[in-house]
Amino acid sequence: MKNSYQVKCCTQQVHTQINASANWLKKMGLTLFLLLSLVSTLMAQTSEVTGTITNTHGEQLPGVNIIIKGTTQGTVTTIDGEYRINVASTDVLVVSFIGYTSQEVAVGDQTTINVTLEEETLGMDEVVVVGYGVQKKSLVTGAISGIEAEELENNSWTNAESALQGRTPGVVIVPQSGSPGAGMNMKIRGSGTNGDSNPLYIVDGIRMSDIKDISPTDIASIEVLKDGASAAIYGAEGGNGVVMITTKTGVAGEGKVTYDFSYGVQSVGNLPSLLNSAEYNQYQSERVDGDGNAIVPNTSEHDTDWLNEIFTTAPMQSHNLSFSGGTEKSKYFTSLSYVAQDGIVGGDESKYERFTARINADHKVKNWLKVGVNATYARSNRKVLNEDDEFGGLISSALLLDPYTPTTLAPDKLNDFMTKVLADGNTLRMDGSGDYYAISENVRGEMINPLLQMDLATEEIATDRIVGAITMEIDLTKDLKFTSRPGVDVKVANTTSWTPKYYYSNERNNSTLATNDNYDLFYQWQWENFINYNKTFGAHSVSGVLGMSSQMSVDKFVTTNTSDMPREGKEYAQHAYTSGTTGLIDGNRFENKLVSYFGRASYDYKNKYMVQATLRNDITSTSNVPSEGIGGIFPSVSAGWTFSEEDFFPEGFISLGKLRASWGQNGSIKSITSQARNEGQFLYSSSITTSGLRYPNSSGGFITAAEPGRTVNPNLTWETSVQSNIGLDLRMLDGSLSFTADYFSKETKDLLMFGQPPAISGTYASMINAGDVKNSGIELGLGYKDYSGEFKYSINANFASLKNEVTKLNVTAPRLNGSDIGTGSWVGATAFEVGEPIWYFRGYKTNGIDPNTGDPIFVDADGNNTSDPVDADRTNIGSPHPTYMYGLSAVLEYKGFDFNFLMQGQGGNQAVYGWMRTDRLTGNLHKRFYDDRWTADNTNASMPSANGDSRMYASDLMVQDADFLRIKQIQLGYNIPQTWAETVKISSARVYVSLDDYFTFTKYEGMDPEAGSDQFNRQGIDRGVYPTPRKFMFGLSVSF
Amino acid sequence: MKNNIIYIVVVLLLAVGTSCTKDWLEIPEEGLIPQENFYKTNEDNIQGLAAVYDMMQVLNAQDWSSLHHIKTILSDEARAGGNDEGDQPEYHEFDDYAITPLNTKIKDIWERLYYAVYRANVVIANVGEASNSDAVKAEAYALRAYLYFELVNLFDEVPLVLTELLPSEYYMEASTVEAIYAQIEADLKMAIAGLPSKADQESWRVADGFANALMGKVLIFQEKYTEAIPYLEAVSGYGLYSDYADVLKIPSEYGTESMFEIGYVNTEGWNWGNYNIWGDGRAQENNIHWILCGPREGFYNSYDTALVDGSDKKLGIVLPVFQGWGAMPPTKKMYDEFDGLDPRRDLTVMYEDDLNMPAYNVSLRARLKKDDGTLENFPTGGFQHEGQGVLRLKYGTWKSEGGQADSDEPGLNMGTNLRVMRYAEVLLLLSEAYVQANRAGDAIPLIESLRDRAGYTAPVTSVDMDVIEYEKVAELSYEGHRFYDMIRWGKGAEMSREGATFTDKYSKLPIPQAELDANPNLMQNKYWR
Repeated sequence: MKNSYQVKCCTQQVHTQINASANWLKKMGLTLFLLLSLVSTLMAQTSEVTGTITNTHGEQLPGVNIIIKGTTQGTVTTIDGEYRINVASTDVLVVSFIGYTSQEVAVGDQTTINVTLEEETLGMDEVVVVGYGVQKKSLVTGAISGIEAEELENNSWTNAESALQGRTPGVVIVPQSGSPGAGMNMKIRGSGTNGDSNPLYIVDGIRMSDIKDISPTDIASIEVLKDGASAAIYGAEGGNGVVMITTKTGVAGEGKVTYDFSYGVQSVGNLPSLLNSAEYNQYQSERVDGDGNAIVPNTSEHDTDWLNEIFTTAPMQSHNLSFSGGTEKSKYFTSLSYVAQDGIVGGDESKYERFTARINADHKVKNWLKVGVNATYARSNRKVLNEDDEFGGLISSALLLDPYTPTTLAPDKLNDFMTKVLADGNTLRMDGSGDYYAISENVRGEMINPLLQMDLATEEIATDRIVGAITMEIDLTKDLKFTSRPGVDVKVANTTSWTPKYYYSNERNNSTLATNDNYDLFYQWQWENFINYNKTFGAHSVSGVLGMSSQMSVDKFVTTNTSDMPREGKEYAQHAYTSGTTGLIDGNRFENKLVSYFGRASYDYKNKYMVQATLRNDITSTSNVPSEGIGGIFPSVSAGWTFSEEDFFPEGFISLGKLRASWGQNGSIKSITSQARNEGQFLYSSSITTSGLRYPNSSGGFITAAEPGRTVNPNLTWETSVQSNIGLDLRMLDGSLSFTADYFSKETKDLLMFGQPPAISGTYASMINAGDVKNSGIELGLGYKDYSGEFKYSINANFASLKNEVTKLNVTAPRLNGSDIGTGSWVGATAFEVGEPIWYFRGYKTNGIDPNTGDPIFVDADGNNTSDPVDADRTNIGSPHPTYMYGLSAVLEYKGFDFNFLMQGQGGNQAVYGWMRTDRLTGNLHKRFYDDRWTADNTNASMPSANGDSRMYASDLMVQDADFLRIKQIQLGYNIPQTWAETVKISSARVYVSLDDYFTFTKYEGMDPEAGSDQFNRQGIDRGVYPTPRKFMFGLSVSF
Repeated sequence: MKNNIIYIVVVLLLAVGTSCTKDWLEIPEEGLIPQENFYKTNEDNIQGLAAVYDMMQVLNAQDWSSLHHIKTILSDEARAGGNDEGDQPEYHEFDDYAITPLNTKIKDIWERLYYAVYRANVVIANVGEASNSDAVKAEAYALRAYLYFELVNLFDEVPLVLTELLPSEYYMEASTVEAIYAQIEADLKMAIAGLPSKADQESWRVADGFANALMGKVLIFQEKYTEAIPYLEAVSGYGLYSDYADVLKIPSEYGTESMFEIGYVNTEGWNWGNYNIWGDGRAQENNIHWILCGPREGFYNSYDTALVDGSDKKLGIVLPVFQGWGAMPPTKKMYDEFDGLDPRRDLTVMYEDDLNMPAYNVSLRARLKKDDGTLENFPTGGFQHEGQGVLRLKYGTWKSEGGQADSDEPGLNMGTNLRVMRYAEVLLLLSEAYVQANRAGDAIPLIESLRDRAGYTAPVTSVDMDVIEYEKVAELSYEGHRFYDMIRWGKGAEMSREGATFTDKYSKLPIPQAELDANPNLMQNKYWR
């Protein structure tokens, strides 16, 4: 006897729940789980039929629906295209699969029914999700990269962005940090904006400000709309490209339960080499300070490797349980997932945990009306360490602290400094074994013992998020469909911290127990209404979309602080228990609105000639741009020619050949809205502000001060990008070999940033449209697959090149300065200048070391050697933008075994040793500055002497190539044989072991060649970045 | 049925479409007041004026960039100090006479001076309807005159901005020094005519006496001594605070001697949990530079156990100032400038060989004794980079000036006001004008009044420029006056110090490179060209 769920019962329950609890998506999700777990009625059938479903190429098709006609009973084919079903001889089987023509087969007395499905259209066709609709892949005229479902399986990612890494040419994903729960910055086709470079994320038709809270296991497919024409349907939101994510839905037929589990151990890979005690002593003894006085180092019995002290191995795990199924009329998918990841620095002091629940369901209420819901709830907790900061960040402290200092000292062995500090009545903290965290006698300033800093870490961010939409689809006529989709994205984030008592130095200490809270409520709604039209007249097909959308978001936060907690400890970190002063109350509210009208018209003739045009009109709110300029119009056109369909084209090697060309215009309103948190809104207005302005009035109080908030800019407008794309698609060897090539040129005009007007203008700069940036490049994709034999394999390779150049600067200054490093040691380390990559590294060029002095030989603007360079001699000494990137993936299957391989690399970019605080003279330093340094005995050296000209710290000596090749995944999996599976009544089970991000090959000797940052103008500056951990994973996946 | 559906659809679309009119998208500027609705009432006007003062509070306290600090390190009064040469390296550039136009502290003070000018210009251009408008405008003129006085002395020829500039007007050329002084004088005439007397003015605001005194100072800086005398003589309603020991401390703030001071308070309750050094670009009402200049960590909190007398007897005395970050250690030279009998010396600086602490009624020779029994040279020892054995008490980190509540971090709450001008300076300016106008005899009672207040009994028989110079050191050192005085007296070379030789270009600061980059019509000043 077979087990199968009685699907009808379930879905009726689903439907009832939808109606009853539409406002309580979370509750509904949970209720569903209960229901689904409870309801499983067994039903008997009469006889068993088996078979295999294949396509015309002989490939077995997994996931094909096999339904007994007139009922809701059915099943789905396995990964090998096989199925089993109990039927009566009078039944008729309906075999259907998306992209293929359905077939009906009468059972009769057959016990084996094999079916070959014909593709619905010419060629190997699939459907891709585009804005406000779907499109057949064969008719696509823009540049759209997809991640297919099979590439999304068998992974141990904790975040959705990772799915795109290494698989999509032209998409660069840089982690803001390697710490658990840190965000990712995605850049599609280069750095075309100065603000938030992330694309527009559309998840099941719902805009999401980020996709951190989407469980990767819920994702069915991802499409990346890269070219201007494809993204133009999203107008002022599409300037950075669009990522369309579709989450899983149920399929009609037998219900399915899947459980995935993974467990991994994370560790750190390459670490920089620093000086040990003997080397540190030697280097310091060669130094003099700025007044010419020798620095005489003490000696120390200790030799601490601080990096070794802070890094640890850390566990991570994930669980995912999902249920799906459905009938012809109703489908559901629901899941629960849990992810927990400790940090390789700080262990559970930098832990990230996320729980998500999802419900996707739809039902055909009437024969003309389908209603669906897609909703997810996520709860995450993140503990945060201070990183990516050369001013006392945890990792930068570990890099700079001298090896003389031990990690801890027993109370009877304290150094002089600690003895005095303790005698003065300061609080020194002890570790678990009663030893004091040591204080360096050589390096303090903002720096701190990193183990002490971990002990002090109290910041936690708890986030609750609900994202969901109801989709109503009405068939107006056979060709005309109306869709209305209201949706919300609500996020509540609570950041808490408290400050323990401690003393490290006069810059780093705390004598008051204070507690801090930040509440941040983000609320966004959207409502989209659109009509799709599809009609074929003989050889002519037309389709179109016409619609409008409105959306609004509010972001409100409140920050509070009170001091004098009664005792140390998280349990006392509540404002209600503090007795001291109220230190800080702050908060603000930001509001954005957008109304859009859009349309798209497509035409094709015999699938051979395709043209498409879109037009979008966006009107934003005055919180972003002045009233006169709130509207924008974004057009696009594209065309395609499937030349392989022409009569003159020879049959044979090439089965499909298509040329594509597109032009489109987009905006980026996000470049303004993303500034709100730091800079507020109305960034063009000179209205009067009193914010934070007060002045003592001599009688113990304050007088409020009032002044124009910033200089006025009545001409502020959003960024606009114009992009052209030419592409070629080829399918060869009966579709086994595929090749795609694209060339694009994307110019972002009116790039937004804060102006740097002369200070005589008198107050804070307004936002300005500063200049233009051009990105251009080619993208190549090559794939080969052979699933015909027992040994199945596919290999995909991709390559992209990228050239980034600032083409125009709208202000008279020769350049705009970006980020600094240190306290004045490298001012304007990045710059925005015509003819250079955006935010390139601007510093002194050197040409070896002067054998006589040990100083670097600098190169002046004319290319001549000089010992006294000036500011004007500073030039481009590196760029954080890769000029090429590539990826290679392979999947091999033999019998039950499978092997997955993925690597990703990039090159042409550089990174800067931003953590080397050269203004802290006694700080430790990278060994490359030690090994071949100039000394009186080593005059033919590659590095300056210990007393080298301090301008070396703003020179190319601090810059290194950051090319890297990372093996993202080596995974070996085993699927248990079908016969075994049947005996334990499961449909499939797979176990795997995997090495993720395990091997990185790079010449860069700092922390991580992917020295990312959350700030755009400081990319590539390694300020002690939290490196991406490497992982050894074990996983298990069972479905029944 | 179908028709109904289409009808519903159309209505839905239209309903959404029409509700999204422009009104819906016009979001009011929350928290902001349109400029045309402001400067209408007396309160508006004073709030606008307070913004000028507030920016000057920033000018001397914020982001590790302080005009007062820079002027003091540039002179021979103090070194840069801190932890080492790498601590605030850009302050060391002033100390080492190794400035470049890239120095961001120069950029900061340039910016904040012009930001304050702008706020004065906005007040001058916009006040009108309310009853206090004339007086407020006069006050803005006085402040603008002061700001340009600083600008011309720091940077020589600078753009003379007198209105709110449109973006098309940003690229101004510099005006001549003569034109700037002429504008300062014109502004001060407006100020003198419109400002109330000190008695009729709120004490945190400048009164007519300040305008007259600044006019006198401006004229003296132009060597127009005779013209200066009547303005300085016209300063009335002010006097000398009785106790010199407290003349720069909270008890004397806004008192009889106060001509113009920038307010800071010690009541904000800052600790490391709630204090933001960067303050979003504005001062947090305390002056972080005072604690920056406290003696650096090491022995200073151990004075009660480490101070011993000549016979090694522990004294159990707690030093009245608390530790800071060691910036701006005073020079031995300044200590030596004093007459040892002048009580003002020991209220200004202490030297290790003559450790007097009159504030605690102790006068004795003392040394610091380290735990291992060796004697430590006081502030040079241990952690006091560039220390010369001298500890500054004037504008010192007095405990009484810091945070007083238990939960306060005392040093993050230093509330000492910065005295931009006090009446003692007026007496010295007038004395100098008398000497230069050959009326030296008229200066004698003025000098006597200062010495009497301090308890310095050396008789004043005649006054010449040497006496003026001594008195300026004794009375006003570390108050931000010496650098300008040495330059105008042609004594810049005397400010050379170990490892740094004064050259003529250090008479002024370079115009910051960022400003030259942003304004194609602005030339570097002639000192730095």
